[in-house]
Amino acid sequence: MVDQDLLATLRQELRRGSVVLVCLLALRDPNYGYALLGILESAGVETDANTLYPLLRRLERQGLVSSEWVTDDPRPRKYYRTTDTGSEVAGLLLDDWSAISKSIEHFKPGDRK
Amino acid sequence: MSEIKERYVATVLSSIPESRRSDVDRELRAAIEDEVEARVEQGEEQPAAETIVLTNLGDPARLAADYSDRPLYLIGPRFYLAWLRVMRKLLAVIPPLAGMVALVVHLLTGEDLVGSILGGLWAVFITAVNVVAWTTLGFAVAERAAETSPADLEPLTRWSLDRLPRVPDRHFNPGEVIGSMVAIAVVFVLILGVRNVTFPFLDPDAWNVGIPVLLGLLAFSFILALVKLRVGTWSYALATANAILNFGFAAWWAWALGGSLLNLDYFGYWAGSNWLTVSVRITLAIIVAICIWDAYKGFVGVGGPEIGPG
Repeated sequence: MVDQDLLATLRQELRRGSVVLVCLLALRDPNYGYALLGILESAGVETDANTLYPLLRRLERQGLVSSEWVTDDPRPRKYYRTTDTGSEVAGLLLDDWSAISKSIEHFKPGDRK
Repeated sequence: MSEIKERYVATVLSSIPESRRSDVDRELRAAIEDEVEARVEQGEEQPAAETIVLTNLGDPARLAADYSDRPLYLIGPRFYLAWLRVMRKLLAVIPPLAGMVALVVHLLTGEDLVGSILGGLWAVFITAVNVVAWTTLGFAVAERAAETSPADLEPLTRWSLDRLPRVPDRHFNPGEVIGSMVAIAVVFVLILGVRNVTFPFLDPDAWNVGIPVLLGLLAFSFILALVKLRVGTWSYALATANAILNFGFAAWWAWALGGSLLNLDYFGYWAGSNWLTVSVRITLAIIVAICIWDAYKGFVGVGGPEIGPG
């Protein structure tokens, strides 16, 4: 019997690092906070609004995304877009992600050498 | 614009640096309105949707801290161990020192023993509270100063194998215990041996009360030493008995040096002199300090692990 609370904690820890990578990849097409929330959810990377909004500002301060106010919409919205540095970082992180995934494959049950 | 949303946004903004305030204000409002609108389109009532959206955003203080990269802890993992070490070192030195000084000052200014001990304990408490408060404040400020890096506190956090503490030994040294038993027995026998001799400097009443109490205390220490030999290591019960014994000796000396044991007539004009009073109090202060130290050592001894002797 798996402890559901423990599982939830472990899952959260496992996913924590992936949110940044997913944001950097998703924001190669400029978008605003709430819309990004929906995109992440439909892609299966559910994230809380109160985590995502501060995260976007942190990424902006780190120079990985840039922002622009768009006033054409029904209400003014702040659009974020992955910068060139951000894309480069995303590429490197993606390599790491694949490497980790490969390493884990290696340990999959029934597959051990 | 509903009142509850205004209150939420205003609360978040109130703890965000002014330079970022208007930007966060616009973005947060837009985000809330977007989500409320989406919920209303799916058939929810406007006020109910607003309540859910705001509730999900959580404690505004937490959101504001996340927006402005403020830590949600007083002292984080970077500095916690340094803080703990500094505090332990300071607590091991400053409060006991302050307590001793306060004790001696109280005794020298004529306070009785119990009052002086209470004064010393109060000084220990006050200085300990101050040490904790100021150390913690200092580290909390360092934690929040953007330019502080763990390297700045390296002297406090440095770690190497050489710094591993020794394993303390809580076993008694049998030779020491037997030596103390011999000394106690010798004093005991000597006192009994001279019970018929008249000492002009002793109060004639000394043999009725003072000396028997001293003999009782000596007998108590002898029994305690026997128990130490038998048990071999410190325990809380032993340390407590040791502390009580030390308190007894301190009290006896306070009583004796307070003028009840000595025949003051014998000392003539010295008896009322300042010089005698001061030297008696200094002697008493030293005796009390030794007793406290000995009682303290017992409790420290309990903390050691059980390992074979030598």
